[in-house]
Amino acid sequence: MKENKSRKKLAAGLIIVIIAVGTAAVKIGAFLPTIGDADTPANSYVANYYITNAVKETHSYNIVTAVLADYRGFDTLFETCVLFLSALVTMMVLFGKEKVPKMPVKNLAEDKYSAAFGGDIMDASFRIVVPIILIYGIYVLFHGEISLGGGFQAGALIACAYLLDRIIPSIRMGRGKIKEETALIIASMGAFFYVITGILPMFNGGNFLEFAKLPFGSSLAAESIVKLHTAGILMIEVGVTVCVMGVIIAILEVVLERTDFDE
Amino acid sequence: MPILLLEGLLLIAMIAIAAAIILGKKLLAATVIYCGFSLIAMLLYTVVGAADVAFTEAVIGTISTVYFIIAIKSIKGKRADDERK
Repeated sequence: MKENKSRKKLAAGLIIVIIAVGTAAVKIGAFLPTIGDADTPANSYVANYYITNAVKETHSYNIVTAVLADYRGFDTLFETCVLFLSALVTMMVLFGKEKVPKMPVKNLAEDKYSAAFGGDIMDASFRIVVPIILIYGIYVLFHGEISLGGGFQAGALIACAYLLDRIIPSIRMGRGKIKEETALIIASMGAFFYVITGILPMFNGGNFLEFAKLPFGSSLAAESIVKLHTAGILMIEVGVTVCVMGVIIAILEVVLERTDFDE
Repeated sequence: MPILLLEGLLLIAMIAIAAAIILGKKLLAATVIYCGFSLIAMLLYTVVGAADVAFTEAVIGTISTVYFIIAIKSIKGKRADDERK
């Protein structure tokens, strides 16, 4: 009885909050400009420059990628570092806890129904889904300049494929798993590759992350500078992909190794 | 500010899903409903025109759901489900 009463109270409070916030949002929303309006401050200064010049300067038809990886490359570097830090802190917090030993099972068929996640349908369908996800991840990485996506999404997709493989069949079999320390090292290598991409132009007399001075092309023609921009964006995307993949795998492994699924 | 009908419907669905997450009795069910919340957010981003953000939301929604399920499994020993009832 008591639980029901508290739940009703919670529901009543929720309705009041929803109505209050909704009314306020509608009232305030009347003053806000329309999304995508040309006269708004967000669209009238720097956005115009991006729209007119991004394709010309970087050959990246997805302007979002051009802004993230080229014009705002320094921001993206520290976003990548924040991601890496999150994995590092998760490991620092959980590393002292004892691992739960998992009995390795030789034959999955014997043990299928006692596994934590799984069963016949999951086991059959993940085999079809995982290769497609992997190929799509690579596609998203290399087509980030032309179509949707970029480094972050590609890394998350590849990690998603690993995650499916890890939790559906092999949580008991213990095969094909990456150690958490290894995953963290992979993530750090991704961030390191990003920084190296930034430092390379400095040997050639440029600034940090100035892709026009990357030491790959010799001629100073405008076309080759555009190509260097494209190469720089691709290198950064690879770094971000590796970092995101490593971070997601590291956090997953850290938690998974210390979770008891057998109760 | 004129709101499209579709946007309005999606926003109402979002509110309903959020209320369902708070009022639900089981943690696992709340997690799966949260995946639906992520789906609605993705549709909303697509309607607004931010396709890149929608893509990110779709991928991260899936991964965060798996994380939540593992977290629920790992705190089961502390009777999180019982406390919630």
